[in-house]
Amino acid sequence: MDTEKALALLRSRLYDPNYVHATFKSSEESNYCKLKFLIMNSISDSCNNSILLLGPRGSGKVAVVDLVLEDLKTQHPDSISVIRLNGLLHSDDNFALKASSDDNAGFMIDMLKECGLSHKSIIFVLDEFDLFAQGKQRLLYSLLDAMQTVSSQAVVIGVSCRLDADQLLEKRVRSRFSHRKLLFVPPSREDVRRLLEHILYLPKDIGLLSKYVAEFNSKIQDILNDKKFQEILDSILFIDGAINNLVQFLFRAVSSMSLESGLLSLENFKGSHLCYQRQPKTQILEGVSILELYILVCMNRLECKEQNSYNFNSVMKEYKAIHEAYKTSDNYRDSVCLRAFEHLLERELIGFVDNKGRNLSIEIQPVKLLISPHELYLGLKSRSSCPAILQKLFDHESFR
Amino acid sequence: MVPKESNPSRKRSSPGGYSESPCKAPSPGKWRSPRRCNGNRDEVRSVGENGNLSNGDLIGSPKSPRKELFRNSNQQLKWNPRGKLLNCHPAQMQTVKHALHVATPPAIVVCREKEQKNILEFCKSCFQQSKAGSLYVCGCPGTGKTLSIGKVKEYFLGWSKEVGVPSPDVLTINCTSLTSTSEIFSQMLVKFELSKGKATNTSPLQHLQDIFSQKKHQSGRMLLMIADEMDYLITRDHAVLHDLFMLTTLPFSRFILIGIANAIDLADRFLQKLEALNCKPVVITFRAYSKDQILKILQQRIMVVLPQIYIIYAICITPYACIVHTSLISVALGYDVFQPAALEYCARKVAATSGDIRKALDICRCAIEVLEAELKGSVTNKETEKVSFHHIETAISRSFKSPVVDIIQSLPQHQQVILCSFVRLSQHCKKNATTLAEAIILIIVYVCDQLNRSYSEICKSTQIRPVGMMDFASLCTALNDQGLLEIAQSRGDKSKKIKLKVDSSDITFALKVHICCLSTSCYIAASLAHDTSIGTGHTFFPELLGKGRPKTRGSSINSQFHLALK
Repeated sequence: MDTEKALALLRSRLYDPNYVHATFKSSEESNYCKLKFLIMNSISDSCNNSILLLGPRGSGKVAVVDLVLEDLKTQHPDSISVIRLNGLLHSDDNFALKASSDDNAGFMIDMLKECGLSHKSIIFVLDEFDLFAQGKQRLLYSLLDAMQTVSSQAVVIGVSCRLDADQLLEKRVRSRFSHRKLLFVPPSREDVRRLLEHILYLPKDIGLLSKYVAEFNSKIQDILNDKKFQEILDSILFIDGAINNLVQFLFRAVSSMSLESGLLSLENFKGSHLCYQRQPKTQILEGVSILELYILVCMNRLECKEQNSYNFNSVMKEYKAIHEAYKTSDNYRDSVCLRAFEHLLERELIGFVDNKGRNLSIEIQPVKLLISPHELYLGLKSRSSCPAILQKLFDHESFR
Repeated sequence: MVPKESNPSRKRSSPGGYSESPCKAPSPGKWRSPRRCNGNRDEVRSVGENGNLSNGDLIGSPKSPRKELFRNSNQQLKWNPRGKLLNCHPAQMQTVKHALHVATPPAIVVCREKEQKNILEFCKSCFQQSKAGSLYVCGCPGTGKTLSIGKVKEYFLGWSKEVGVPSPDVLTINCTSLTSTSEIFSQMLVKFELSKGKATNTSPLQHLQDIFSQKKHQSGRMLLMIADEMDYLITRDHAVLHDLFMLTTLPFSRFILIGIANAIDLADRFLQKLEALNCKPVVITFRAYSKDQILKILQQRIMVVLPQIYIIYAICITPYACIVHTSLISVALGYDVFQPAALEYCARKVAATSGDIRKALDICRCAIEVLEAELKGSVTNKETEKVSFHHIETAISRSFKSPVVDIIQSLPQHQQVILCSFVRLSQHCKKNATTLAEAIILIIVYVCDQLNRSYSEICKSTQIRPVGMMDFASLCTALNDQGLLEIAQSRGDKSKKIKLKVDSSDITFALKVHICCLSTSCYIAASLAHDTSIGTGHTFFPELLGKGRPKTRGSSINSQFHLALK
């Protein structure tokens, strides 16, 4: 019972962006505090402001905006209204009829005037801001121009993942947009540690046995201090450091928690990491025949010799050269090799260089590898039935 | 720069002022020059028009008791950024920020007197001669065009009242609010009430042309139209803009058109036919502000008017309450809010880049916020804390600095390696470009698998495990989303062309100074530096290839790629 409750709690935490990003609420330098400071100042000074939030996808920009707006709504329930626009839906060029986009602009300007008269502040949240900057940028211009009058009180928050979003604006619009930017960078190691502790530690006061809670938390502590866990974490963060990515990794690990022991273990995290490391192409190599492996290795050799383009015939030449040199038993006829070649094309392990040569026969069209040398090497290594000669040929090119 | 001797009880000559005050004539030494007084008087009067405070008159003389009053309160009006007034948050800071906000209309528009005079003279001459005319105002954003023309409109209406002629009908329209470009004519009809007699099948434009070509339709009033952001009227065949200006050339037209836009050569490019008819519009250019002009504007804004609260406070403590009450105080606070060097630095920086006053105002407000944040944190209770050079510098770096270097330093490791492999590919290519011509037509576009190969090489040399092809593609997509790379749309996944959008020197710089816990970044940077035999100042030339296949020349360079990757 307790273990199920704990599992449910952890899962619900991981899928609540507000909870996840609330880790950094208390630190002074966090983006949450800066955004909140700015909006509160604008409301209390009743002046207009604009700000741009930039950062890679999944770094929590919209989550932070939501957190801030929620807090402000509880503090000042009557003086804020929020309008959300999304660049995918509301930007100029996406409207079939021009009239509806102007209606929208007109509506927004009227709302601004109304709220200015009643001393309410409007907060515009423009998601996918870079899409608003396409075309003639009428919506942005009318919005920012309306904010240049004293009677309006508005804050425009633009959210975008393009770092040069403000360079995309026309110069008139850029002149009216204040140049405040908040950058959302991936968290540092200490911040990651804080985040993990915030999410994974069970609280003491939710009706679970205190012994169980203590055991759970100490196990988590051990895992977090384990060097292997650090390595796993590093390899994930080196590919994508965004908080979303980390949360998904944790979710997989938490979901695989065993219910008998009720504790998380390092194996859970390792298993989650393996899902990340799935290499589809290397897995395909496990089902490929030996002849096809030969062909792939030949192509790799040709590429290492920096041949511009090669086709089936040149691959065959290389293949025959190998067999003459090493006198192996795997020498097959051209027609058999051609079939193997076609299999590889179907599996998209190799591909044609361009699509123009449809009329030429397969043997003449230039081809290239669609699998990186490293993946090929891993595939060869994992095949127990791979002839040693292939490995030797591969290693001969001093690729490790 | 606010002068040091500014007292609240500034002496000015004003027509009705002295009749009320029981003071003697002031000593000459304390007088300001009349020119400055006049300027201030205008400021006061127009502030009154804005509704902030009622018209102010002069108060007091050096010997009047009121001066004593103000001398006392002047001490209390020193710049006290932490000072709380009536338990609200720092009011002085708020007032200054409000005065520096772009949306706050300034009392007078300084540094544009010449242009305003020219426009006003033009309008007056058209009016007096009862003929039509057109004027085109151009200039960069943030140079005060719309503001100045608004003021000119007011002066013009005022002048027409003074002179006693029927005031003109004025239509101010911002062309971005039009749904279609020809709607401008129907709006003109509505505003100027010219729709009577319009047949249903004539377009608004035709109707206007009819009216202006025949004498009998005249109502005797001049029409003034101000069209803001005029370049929104430009269509493919330039018809609307052209027709609009042509309306001023018709024989019986009494229509003055003032167009505002950013392009300096709009009149030359789109209105050539008017030149033939010898009715080209008068062009008035609003040049970007110079450093002195920006400084003057900022200083004028900082001379804020006291909020009402202070005035009530002042009134309560004086025994001369009745006298003070009748003539309200308008006081220029002698706050030295900014250190002079700081303000000058801000003006100089903005003038050097764009001359846009909005930017200067924004930077000043940002600097005040930096000061505010600093004061919030610190515990020392220094009474006078001004905005210093350092605050302005922080504000400027926030707005002018591009975040590229920070972003590159904060990218995950593999994405940094991808950027490095890009740089390395192009360096190799440049190394092998034998002639200058080849270097110029260098393609900065690489195909995905070339990049992958370069990436694997770097991983090999720095002992990082490379990721597979599919992960590589998703890393490139993530970089594309962030705007660091650009992946061209192509049909297949296999031959996507990738272009670097960040300068390679930024990448090299970012990774050199990046103090990372792993030594691999340093190694990458070192290997890049080692390869840079050409020098660090190379920039990328834009690619000359369109979409599609590379031309034959391009493929010869492709061969060089392969050679270079040895």
